Amino acid sequence: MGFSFVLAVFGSTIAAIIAMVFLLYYFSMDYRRNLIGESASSLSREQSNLLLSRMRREISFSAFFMDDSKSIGIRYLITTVILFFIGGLAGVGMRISLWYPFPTFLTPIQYNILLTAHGTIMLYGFAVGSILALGYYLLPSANMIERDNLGIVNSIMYWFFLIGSLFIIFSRSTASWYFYYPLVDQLSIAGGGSYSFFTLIGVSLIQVAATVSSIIFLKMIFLDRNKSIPVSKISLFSWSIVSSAVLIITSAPVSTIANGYLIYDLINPVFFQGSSVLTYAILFWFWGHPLVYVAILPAFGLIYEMLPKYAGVPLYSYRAGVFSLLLLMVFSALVWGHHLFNSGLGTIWDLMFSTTSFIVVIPSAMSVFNWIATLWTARGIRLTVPMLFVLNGIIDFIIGGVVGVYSADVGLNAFIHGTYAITSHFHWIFIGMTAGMAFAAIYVLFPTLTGGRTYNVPLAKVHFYLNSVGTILMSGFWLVGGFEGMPRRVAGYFGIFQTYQDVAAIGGVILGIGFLIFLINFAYSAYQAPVMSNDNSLEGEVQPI
Amino acid sequence: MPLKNKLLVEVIWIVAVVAILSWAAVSNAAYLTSDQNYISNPVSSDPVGTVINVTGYQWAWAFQYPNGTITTDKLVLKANTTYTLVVNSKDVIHDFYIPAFGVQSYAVPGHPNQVTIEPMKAGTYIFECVEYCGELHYEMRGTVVVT
Amino acid sequence: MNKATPIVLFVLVLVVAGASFAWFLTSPGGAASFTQGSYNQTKVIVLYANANGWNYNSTPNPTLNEKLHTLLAFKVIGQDGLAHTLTINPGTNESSSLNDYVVNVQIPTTVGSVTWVNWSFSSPGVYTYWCIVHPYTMRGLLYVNSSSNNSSAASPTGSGMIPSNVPNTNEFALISNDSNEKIW
Repeated sequence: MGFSFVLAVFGSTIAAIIAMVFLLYYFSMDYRRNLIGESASSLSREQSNLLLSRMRREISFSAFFMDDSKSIGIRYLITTVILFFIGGLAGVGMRISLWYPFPTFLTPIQYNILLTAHGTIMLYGFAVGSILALGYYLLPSANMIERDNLGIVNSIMYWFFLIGSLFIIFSRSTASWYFYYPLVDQLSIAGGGSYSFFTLIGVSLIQVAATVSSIIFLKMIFLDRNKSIPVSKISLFSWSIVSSAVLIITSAPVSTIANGYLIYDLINPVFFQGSSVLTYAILFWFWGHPLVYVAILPAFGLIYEMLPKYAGVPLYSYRAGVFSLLLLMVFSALVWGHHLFNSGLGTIWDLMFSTTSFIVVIPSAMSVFNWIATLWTARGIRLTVPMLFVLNGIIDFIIGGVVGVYSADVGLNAFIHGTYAITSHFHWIFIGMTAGMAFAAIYVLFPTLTGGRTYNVPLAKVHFYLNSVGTILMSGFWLVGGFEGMPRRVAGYFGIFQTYQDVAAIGGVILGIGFLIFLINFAYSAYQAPVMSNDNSLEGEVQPI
Repeated sequence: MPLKNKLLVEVIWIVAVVAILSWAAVSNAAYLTSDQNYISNPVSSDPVGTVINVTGYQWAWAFQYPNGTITTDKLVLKANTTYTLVVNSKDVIHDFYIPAFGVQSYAVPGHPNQVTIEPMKAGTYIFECVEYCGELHYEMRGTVVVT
Repeated sequence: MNKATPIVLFVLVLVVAGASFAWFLTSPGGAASFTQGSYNQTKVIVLYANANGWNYNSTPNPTLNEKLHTLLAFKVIGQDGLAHTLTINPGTNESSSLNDYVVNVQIPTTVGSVTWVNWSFSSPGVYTYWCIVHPYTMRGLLYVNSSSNNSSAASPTGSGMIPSNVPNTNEFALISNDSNEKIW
């Protein structure tokens, strides 16, 4: 029931031996990586197809042994899709378990493990990982980079990320994704989970990986960018990565340090017990709120890239887009206190965080109006599958964003904080924007990723419609239930809420089936013979707007 | 509409959004300054009305009334009376929430908060814990009986 | 792209996701070290679990006097539909450490559910039986007296890690009898 020291010692010893064997094998593959690097530098520029910006990498397991930026992107892509399915299955399990008002399918402990797994894997694994995947994969083309000379650092950071994800999965923590202080240090299955500190180590590893990768992204965009692209013509996807990278660099180390304090407090509780347990919450949300902007800003960038291509016109206003992304970067670092409105921060702080939360709506609205104006002036919108995802993402962002404005108001926040209204708010945005844009990008990149295959359009449309309908059913009914006071993170609930939970369960299962169809479509389509060139519109001709 | 003059259109939409949000922010600030008691604040020396000590622990709520009685998972109030709930915790962070009154306050160990409520109508309402606090978090709920 | 890669990826995603789900659902490891004593007789103790006190409607929180080498069969009946546990630890106070618990069994939240908790103490002394959820109200003392008849000779020493816990079948009935839900 409690923490078993013997198991920890043996487990870590076995893990260390496996890691040593793996590293030995990995570094025996060193020559392959050197080969790629040398050929890139020795060939003349005209002949070389190995220049990073013109390189086309397919999905293959040999990407795990190559250090160029595109292969690192493929590694992250494979890993994050697998993590997405692990987290998604946990979410569907939770939905089914909530069919009846009291726990039947799962015990409360199992429910809490799934709850924590869903949150941690989706945020630290999928959201952060998909940004790193798209950044590594798309930035070299967008900025016409010839080669990267920090490949080995990228590679090591990838293994940090993977080991961190494995730690999170294996810890079976029940401390929820923000592991508040007194709970996470209760090392029992009834508290934070017997091995919850493994989650802390895993999250710290992922934060280190994200921080170093962000620094490399900034280097790619501002130092390695081809001289033919002036600052005023950097693509909007690159600007969105700049915003995310700056947010990660400024906030992730704070949380890494706080995690270190938590692990030390297991042995000798001096840091948070001595001051106030709210100190940890403040340190966490200083990173926790920028994290959610980190998760959606690259989705903004992808919409800015994809929308003009399928609307047939250039983006309405490049200038407003850049301003919006940079203002979001500045203001979203100042709003974290709205997660703690009811915790007794004091009226002055409530007022400040409430006001900044209202201000951060302005740049978001600028982006939305920019997209609407682009659609307004469009000639001949092509409703391809990625475009459907983009339109769905914009609509979902508007709905979720309006609920977000409600919760910025202190008086209204006391009504909906901690209820399913908040869950609904960020599921609209995360499913529509973060996951939706990641999968739209995979559909756009499909010919390149699979070496000239094309996806099955009817199956992809089924995926889209199931995704859209599932989100509306699940998040929509959560929203109504949340306004009536349906609490979050519960394994059972008052019988009056059963209708909302049942419909949300149906929606969740529909979402799960939709993503299963994506997987089947991928396997089926990639198994066919190649039919087209392996080029795509995101990497193709580099066309700064 | 052709949307020809780009700068004008951009200025119009920014001004419109800023106008709506300033109204929201100003009304929020006005609410915060005039009705401080109805949101959760650290305990001050002069609470309004009858003081009820609310203690959250894994996994139930205990209510201590001025006459010393303790009830568990059931809060008994009188209509049209002002109460100040002093919310504290014995172990981990909890969050006391009454949906019908639109009032909630974190229960932070060693950092008591207070919030004022004034039930208007007799009836039975629900209350819940809305901050995740371990295995039986969902059982930290009960009824508010207003007579 | 290798022709087998999509199939391998498809299988990999399904297997890894399924295996992780199964891993999440297996109950967490670690074990408490309780040893059950030998016994030569059985005694049934009926306890009504009520948030105001054990057996609140007759004698609240009775002090129990039992003999060593007796299998105590606690018949715990849920009375108010709230979450309760039957927890027993040595000493006259509740212990906050999980490692001290001799017995720690959850009572289902269905009104009228019957949970049998069988335990035989291996050493005499004073114990506290209480409910983790309602420690203010639900606690009583249990004295285990080492009486004259010692017949520990050939009886098997049970070494169950967790006390045997036989729930009534109606625990899993789908009709909710939760007192909270009745109002709503």
